[in-house]
Amino acid sequence: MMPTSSSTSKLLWWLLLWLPVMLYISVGAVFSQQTVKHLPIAVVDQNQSTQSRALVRDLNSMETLALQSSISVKEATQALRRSDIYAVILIPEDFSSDLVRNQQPMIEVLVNGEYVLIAKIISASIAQVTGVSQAVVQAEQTLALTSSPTTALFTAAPVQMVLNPLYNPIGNYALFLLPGIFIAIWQVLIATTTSTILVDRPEGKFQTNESWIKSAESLTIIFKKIAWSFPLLWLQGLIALSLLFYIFNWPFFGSLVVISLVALFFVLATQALAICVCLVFTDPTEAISISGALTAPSFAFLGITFPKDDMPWLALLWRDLLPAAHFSEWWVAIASYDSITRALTHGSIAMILIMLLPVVFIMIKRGINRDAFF
Amino acid sequence: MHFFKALLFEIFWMFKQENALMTIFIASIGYAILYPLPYSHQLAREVEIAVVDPDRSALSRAFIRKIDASPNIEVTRILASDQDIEDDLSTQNVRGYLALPRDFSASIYRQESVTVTLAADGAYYLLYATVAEGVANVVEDFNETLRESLLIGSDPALSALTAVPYIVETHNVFNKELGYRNYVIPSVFLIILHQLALIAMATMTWFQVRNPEAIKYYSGKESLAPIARFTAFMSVFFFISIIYVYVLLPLYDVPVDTPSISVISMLLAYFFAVISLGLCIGRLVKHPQVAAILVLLSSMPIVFSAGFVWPSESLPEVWKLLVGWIPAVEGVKGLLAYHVFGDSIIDQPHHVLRLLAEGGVFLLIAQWLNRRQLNVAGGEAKFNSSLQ
Repeated sequence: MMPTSSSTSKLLWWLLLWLPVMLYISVGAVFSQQTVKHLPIAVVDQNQSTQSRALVRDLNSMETLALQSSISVKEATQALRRSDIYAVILIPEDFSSDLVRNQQPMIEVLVNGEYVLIAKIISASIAQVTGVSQAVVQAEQTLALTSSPTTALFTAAPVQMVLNPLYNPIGNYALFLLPGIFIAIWQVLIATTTSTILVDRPEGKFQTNESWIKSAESLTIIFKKIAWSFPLLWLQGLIALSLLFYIFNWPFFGSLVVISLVALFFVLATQALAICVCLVFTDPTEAISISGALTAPSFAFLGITFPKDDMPWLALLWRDLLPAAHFSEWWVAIASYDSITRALTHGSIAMILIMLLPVVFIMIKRGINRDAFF
Repeated sequence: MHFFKALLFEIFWMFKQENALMTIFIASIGYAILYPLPYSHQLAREVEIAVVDPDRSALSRAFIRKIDASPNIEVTRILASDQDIEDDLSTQNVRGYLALPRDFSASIYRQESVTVTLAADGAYYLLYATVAEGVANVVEDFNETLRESLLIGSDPALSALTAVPYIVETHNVFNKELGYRNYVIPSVFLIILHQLALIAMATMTWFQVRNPEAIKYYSGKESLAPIARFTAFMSVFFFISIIYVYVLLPLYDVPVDTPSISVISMLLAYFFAVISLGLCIGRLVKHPQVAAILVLLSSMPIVFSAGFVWPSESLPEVWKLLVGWIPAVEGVKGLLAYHVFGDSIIDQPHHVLRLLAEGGVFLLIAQWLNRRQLNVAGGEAKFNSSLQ
């Protein structure tokens, strides 16, 4: 069905169908739990009083945490070093007696900060439990003195804070990672598939790769190849997108039709990058590897995990060259803010410039080889 | 002597074969510069938020000043109502807003609790967590001040209770400030080398059996070729990894331990496993570009299965068993244990043992693949000669 040589068309079937299926299944498997649950932490309760046990019970009721009671501090810190647990909570020996005497005992929490996102989840969960417990203890203490419930409540926490995560209603951790992962994977697929199609040169016509690139005919051939491959790559992404929506129940405030339409530009811009790579690197294996290698580390540059406002200019420059970065901006604008104007005013010019890049590359190639043409 | 010459021959071809040269040397330099780039600032600071303050009292202004003073947050707008806030959020002028109630000061002076609501962009987790942490800390401090100033005068008996009943002190160990670079770079570096070694070893394994010069060189001593190639790749990647771990990580200010036997033996075992797997892939694929595509596309699932971003505890058991056979997964655990957490191979040998076992299994598979290929080739030759 595809106008390519037989070995390439076999590889193309893999790239268009089987590999994406395998990739999205594996991503689906990794994030199948969706929320982070039962992170192992240890509590060393050196006090063993009613108060300390109440606190341990409260911690135990958190879905994000899985408590292991350790006997000694040494055991617990060793387990922390071995990554068997992510955090240790140390309740001091005189916790309850200090509480009674208003001596402000101190609970120490050691969190493994190397796992940044996990550490943030654990710290927030522990803070949530201890915050409530502190307020309850304080209210009890005040109530014993004033017998006025309002004062007791006020003393516990004059100002209380309520958190409201916008655009991600349940604060789902997988949901914040997945769009970026999906866009990054789609970009690598488009880049490698396009290169695979482009390096498949008409047999017998050109003696060398160089002569193929320099031939006047090659432009029409490139154009034809893009014309039949880009709807396939676009569809490939849209099918994956719909499945991910269905499986993960993505919160989406905008329109899927709009996303599908702007995705057209994303596919074309990524294909334009692949054309440039194929123009510079004429060896087929090299061209495919390089277009894959250039697009593979995009995830870090998208600005989803680490904000782009905190990136240095050199990183932003590289980011500007990545269609996935602009598409992820569009994605957030449409999916979260339901704002097409924001989508169109951010990165559109960069995306158009990327699409025009092959023209520049072809002109340079032609310019260098002017003698060969005219 | 033969072996030594063959080793040099293989290293020579790593430079001569353009694909190998790109994958091994140019890519390992390029990625070492490119990958840490976004994280050079380590932390998100001064995230911009708006405050909705319909109260506009001295007390609410004092509270907002405290919020603005937090290193996590910068208050860029103070609004009387939350009417136009959606626009500011969708243009990302602000990443969230903190809404104070109309009776903020009145309630507090009446000694009734008030609730402030922080709404922040949940699509960017790091920014969200930074703002939430900042506001929570300010609220805690502010409460303490309020208790002191309001309660002491009202009832002497209560004055003893102005402070929180107990203190919770949290320390982040191994990465004090929760720096993003410290967290991402060591693990990602190891995965980059994993992918490059796989592609390069697969490519060379495929290429050398078809390279006329290599065929001529090894004629009569064919069994030497895989051993020499294996050793050449082990040496080169071990060398690059030593530079990554002991030169580049300190250069990027990632806190790491001094060179240790544990880390060095871990890296050796790691590349033993990785290069054996590369040998298998090289014997399995019909063309090296297939290997490159497969390995590059597997990068994202590997990163998120290695346990440093998404917790291993949240992976399905079957998936954990499967990805356990990718050397990067055990390698990342080993590198973090020996190099960042300061564990030793004597106390925790299982990372190294696991990698050695994986390497052993991959070698057996590679051997079987080789024999199968020879059998197929031999069979074809017999078939062809019988036709003639």
